[in-house]
Amino acid sequence: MRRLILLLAVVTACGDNQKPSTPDDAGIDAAVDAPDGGSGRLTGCLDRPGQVPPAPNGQLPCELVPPGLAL
Amino acid sequence: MKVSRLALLAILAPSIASAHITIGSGPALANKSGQKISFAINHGCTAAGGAKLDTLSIKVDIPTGIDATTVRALPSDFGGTPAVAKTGTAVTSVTWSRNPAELQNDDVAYYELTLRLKVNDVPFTKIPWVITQVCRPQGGTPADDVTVVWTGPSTNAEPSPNLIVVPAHALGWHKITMTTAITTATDMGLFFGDAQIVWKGTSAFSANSFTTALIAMTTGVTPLATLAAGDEIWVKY
Repeated sequence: MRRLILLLAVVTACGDNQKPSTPDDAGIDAAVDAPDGGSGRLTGCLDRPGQVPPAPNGQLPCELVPPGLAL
Repeated sequence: MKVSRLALLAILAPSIASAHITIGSGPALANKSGQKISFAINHGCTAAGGAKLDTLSIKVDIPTGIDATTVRALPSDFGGTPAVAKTGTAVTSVTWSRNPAELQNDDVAYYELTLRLKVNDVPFTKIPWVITQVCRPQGGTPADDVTVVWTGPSTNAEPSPNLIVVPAHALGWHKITMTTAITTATDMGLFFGDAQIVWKGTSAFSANSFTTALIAMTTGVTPLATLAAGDEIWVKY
């Protein structure tokens, strides 16, 4: 009897890996993947290779203006 | 009458080379050792009778501006082991010579010959190389040889190839004081061909046509066409 109770306890603790994630589980997954722990605040630094670059505005971009020069 | 003179000149000319010998390895970095400089032998020679000849040998004289003690010649499938002439420890010339039995019966091949060397600290200069090219018809003898000496300015029929020397640089901004002038837009493009942009005060230059257009459209910025010795510039590579 004690062995049966112990077996049931182990099965209950392991759970079912095939069941769909709940919203709480998804939050945990996002926290693991995101660099800021899942708050979403630092996503602006992510590369998006498929994104179309912004159209030029007709002015030199700031990265081509040398240090100390204000235009 | 003019046509007759041209025809006469063509007959009297002993030979001409078909196209220029060039430096195929691009600009070299000043004061940096271990650089490989490759000479592109784009064509053979044309004999007096018009026959196109394959190249038998190439002799490269080591010019001023190169640390001659650092010159090493790379063996080539063109001519096997190169012959190196020296004065003391300084290399004065390198000659690659082929086996005449391997000559082709037409000018159909392209060859590259390479030196490893250190360029002296002479940024923003062009180092001219004097190169002697000898061609021979297939099955010919030394009496049939055609010799072309590539020397002098670009206005010559057979000019020296020029090695463009630029400052050693990493990616990013560099503040440079010019040690020599750059007086033409063409030379600006040669010396700053791999720079994103060059600034002198509020004047800017770029070899990139799109950036050049942005320079023209940006308020407060004027185009930069030349530089004088002593100018202080910002360059972004």
